Amino acid sequence: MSYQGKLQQCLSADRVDITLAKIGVVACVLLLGLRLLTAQVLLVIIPTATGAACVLYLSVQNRHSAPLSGIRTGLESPVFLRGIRGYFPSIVFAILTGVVLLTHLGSGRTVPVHLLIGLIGVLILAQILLVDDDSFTPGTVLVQIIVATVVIRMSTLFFTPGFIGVDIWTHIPTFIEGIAEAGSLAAISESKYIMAPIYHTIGAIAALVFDSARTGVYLTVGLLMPLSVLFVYATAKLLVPVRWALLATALYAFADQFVLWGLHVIPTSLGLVFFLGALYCVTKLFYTDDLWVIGLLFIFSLATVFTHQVSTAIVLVFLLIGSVSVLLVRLSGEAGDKAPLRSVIGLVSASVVTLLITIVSWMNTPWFGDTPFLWQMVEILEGTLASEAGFLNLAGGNGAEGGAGGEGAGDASGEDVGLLAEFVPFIDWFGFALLLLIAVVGGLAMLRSRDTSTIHNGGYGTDSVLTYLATASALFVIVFGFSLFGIRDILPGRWMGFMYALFAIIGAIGLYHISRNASPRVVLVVFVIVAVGYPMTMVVAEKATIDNPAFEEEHPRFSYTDSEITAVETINTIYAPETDREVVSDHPYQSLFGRYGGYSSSTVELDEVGVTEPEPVIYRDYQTQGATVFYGAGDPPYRISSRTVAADQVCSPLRNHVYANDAVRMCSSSAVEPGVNA
Amino acid sequence: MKSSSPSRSEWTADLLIATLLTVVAAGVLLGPDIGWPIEEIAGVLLLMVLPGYAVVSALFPEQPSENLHNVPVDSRASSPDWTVRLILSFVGSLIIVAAVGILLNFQGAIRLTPVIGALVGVTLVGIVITAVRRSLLPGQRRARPFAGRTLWVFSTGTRVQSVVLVLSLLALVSTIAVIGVAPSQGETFSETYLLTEAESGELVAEEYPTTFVAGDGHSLTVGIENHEHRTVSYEVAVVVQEIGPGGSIENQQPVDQFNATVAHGERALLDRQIDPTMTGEGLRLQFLVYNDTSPEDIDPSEPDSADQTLHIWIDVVEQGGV
Repeated sequence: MSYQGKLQQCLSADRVDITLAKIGVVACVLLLGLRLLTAQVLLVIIPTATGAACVLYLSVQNRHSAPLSGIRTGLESPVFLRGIRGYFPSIVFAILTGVVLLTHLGSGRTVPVHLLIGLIGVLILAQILLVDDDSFTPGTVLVQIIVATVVIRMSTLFFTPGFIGVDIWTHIPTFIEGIAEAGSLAAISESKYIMAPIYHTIGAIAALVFDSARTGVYLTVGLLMPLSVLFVYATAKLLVPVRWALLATALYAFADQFVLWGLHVIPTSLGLVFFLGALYCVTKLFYTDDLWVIGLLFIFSLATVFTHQVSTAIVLVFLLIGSVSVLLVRLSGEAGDKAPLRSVIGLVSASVVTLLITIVSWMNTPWFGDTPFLWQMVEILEGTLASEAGFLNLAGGNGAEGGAGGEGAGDASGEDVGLLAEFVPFIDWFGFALLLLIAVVGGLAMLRSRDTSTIHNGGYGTDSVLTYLATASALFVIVFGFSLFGIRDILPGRWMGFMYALFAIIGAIGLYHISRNASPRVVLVVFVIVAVGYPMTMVVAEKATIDNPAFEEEHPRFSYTDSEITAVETINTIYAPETDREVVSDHPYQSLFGRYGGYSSSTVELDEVGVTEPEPVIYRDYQTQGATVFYGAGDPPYRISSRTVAADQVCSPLRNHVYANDAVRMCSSSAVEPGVNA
Repeated sequence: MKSSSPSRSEWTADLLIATLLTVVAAGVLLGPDIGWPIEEIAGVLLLMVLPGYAVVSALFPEQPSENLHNVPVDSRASSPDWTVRLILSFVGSLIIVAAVGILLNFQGAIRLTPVIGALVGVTLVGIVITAVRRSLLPGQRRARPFAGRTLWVFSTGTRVQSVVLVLSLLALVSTIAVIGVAPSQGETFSETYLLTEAESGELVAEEYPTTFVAGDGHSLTVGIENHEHRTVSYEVAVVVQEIGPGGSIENQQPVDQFNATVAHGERALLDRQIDPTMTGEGLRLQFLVYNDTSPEDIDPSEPDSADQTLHIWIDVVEQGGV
């Protein structure tokens, strides 16, 4: 056979999955070359994970599929002795008790707590992946996932002083408490949330009921967040047997991005819950045409519009892709399973209505200045595309920043890059890499099953495959592709938590496929890597530990101690913020002064001598221990790690030191020239 | 064989419990303050569970259909399973709460009593509609959330494993309860700050006097706030220092020393007439604050021994030298 003939055979369209997998391997090898152009770690992780997934998929194609009817792990012999695995649930709850105690004693999570949480994840995933059918009890596993998720989130939220994250310091103390005090939404009338008031209204009512805005938000939206994994479970159960639905649930429950929005409880969190509800409804509509599902889809879509703008954009992307998919399949006249006609009408109607209401809402949404939100966003995007966008115009060192809430909340770029610093980004992204890997396998498996099987024997309709894969791909491109070109106005970091839900479900399909097609040895290796590697790395990843990073020398803490919060309150009374009065500090502490203190705050800028600004400087001990950010004086200013700067350079002895507590100090300019010798 | 119709209590038990909980929760939240955890539990029930449960039950009065994998595709009458109803109850509750709040906003009445009243109303109406809709269904189709339920979560493995599981769950629940009842005291620390009187008469941390006349001085206020979770006796020493190269103290003179005993959570504002006599330009007026330290143990020449220090830079001039 000629070379051309071999190539044609290799790329044969008879098996789209195989062809794509082969192209994927080649493309990933080529993409690895981009690493030579930039130090972005994702340019190693994404091609490697995708390429490995393609190779894995190709390597398991020649085996005969195992029977589809039963639930099996894919292992020929159980990994754990029956006597031991029966105690796993008890061990999970016992470790959870330890997590609660240690979090309480440490006034927040510490590294041992992170590791214990990882161990809980390992035990739960082991029960799903490595326990045979006879010992597998789905209900018990689901209870463990829910209890662990709720208890871990709630103990972290309640035992950490103040709030976790950046934006929440505006949402709760300013907006929610303002509504509760005024008895109306007047407190948010000037903000973009007047047209998206659901989160703040819930928070205000909860503040009245619990007599505390913090408790109120935590016991409503904060409690709903971990419970919303039930939507993932319900959705996945429509696509795969219960063991693999539990896998999707566990994967999502321990995903760093899902943990993030359970700790930084803001409108994005509630938007994510509604998105998961919409995901369930759209998936259900592929197989049934119940009116209640269509009604629920309308409710979730419109609730998102009236909760959060970025979440609305994500839901719209999902709905529109879903609509196009079902219409394409209908119009193509393809045989096999497809969504019922009423479902098609319902899905398309929900998409169109949501789009129209979004446009009307955004045209009436105030934002900075007099121009409505919609036109400003269009202008900003136009400006970015015209002036800033460019290939490999990456942000910070992260590629998808903004996850901690404040859009300036990215990595601190340490100057003294050590061995650990080199490895931390890989640990941070290892869980994501595994998720991506199994999702790629799952995506290819969905393509394979689309036209050869029906839902009744484990296959998927073309419309559902198209919707899932196109939406996951679109979100992936927005999160990573747009960042690659410097387009960050639509906050791509916020899209990741939504994308992960699809990845978790498709990833569960991927492991289900591997369990049926790969050799027991391969299955065992893959399952053990996922069961151990995924939770242990996800729980220590930057976004899962914004309250107290596991790698404290690499990532800043986005929570504050009692003394740090009290300092803001006291300084606010003795040095009143008034109009545009400025203080400077590290990032993120300066954002607390801006949002909670009412100051016009900014990040410290230093030259070789020290702080250059005349404004009062807020020093805190954490600057010398943690990975907070300062700016070096330059054009433009550059980021430096606060740990590399001496305390005296920030809070110079030549300034007046007018406020101090055990962790914080305020230093203001002196009108007196210190002694000539000083 | 024809199965017997369920008894009335089977399909009304959840509604009776929901009604009871709604009334009790509303009473707890509107009644006198009884504190944690009763009010929190009542609040979670009324905001997160009951309104949504009532509405979801009214929408789905029938027993759930089986899992999709076991039913025909065209099961148009399919009804969500209990897992979906559960999460819909939670989400639905919050959507109802938001709707109630937005409606009350038009009256400027987002207040506790109207909110609780509206939520109780929605819940009870939902329960009544559920009862009516269930009663209209054939007996076997009526939703019965408690029918056939066992504590399956505990029925795993051997008897010993089940006992250990129950014990571990009890340990978790009791740990949460104990920690919730007796929360930790939190971080212990003190705050100190230096204030001067502004033209408005307010005490502020800015515009400090810069030139002191020896023998005349200025009034300054030292603020101390105690967050130590115990009463603390604070000793404050004030010194004026001439600073040499590298920050070394070339010369210093005690200016004042005083103390204050402050209870936890209290603030002391100590107004002092600060009157240094050592003259010079660019002198450091330092305030050394010691916690629970006897006056004789204080050594101002060792500022590191102080628990906290504050300072301002001043010029001190002779009488008539201004």
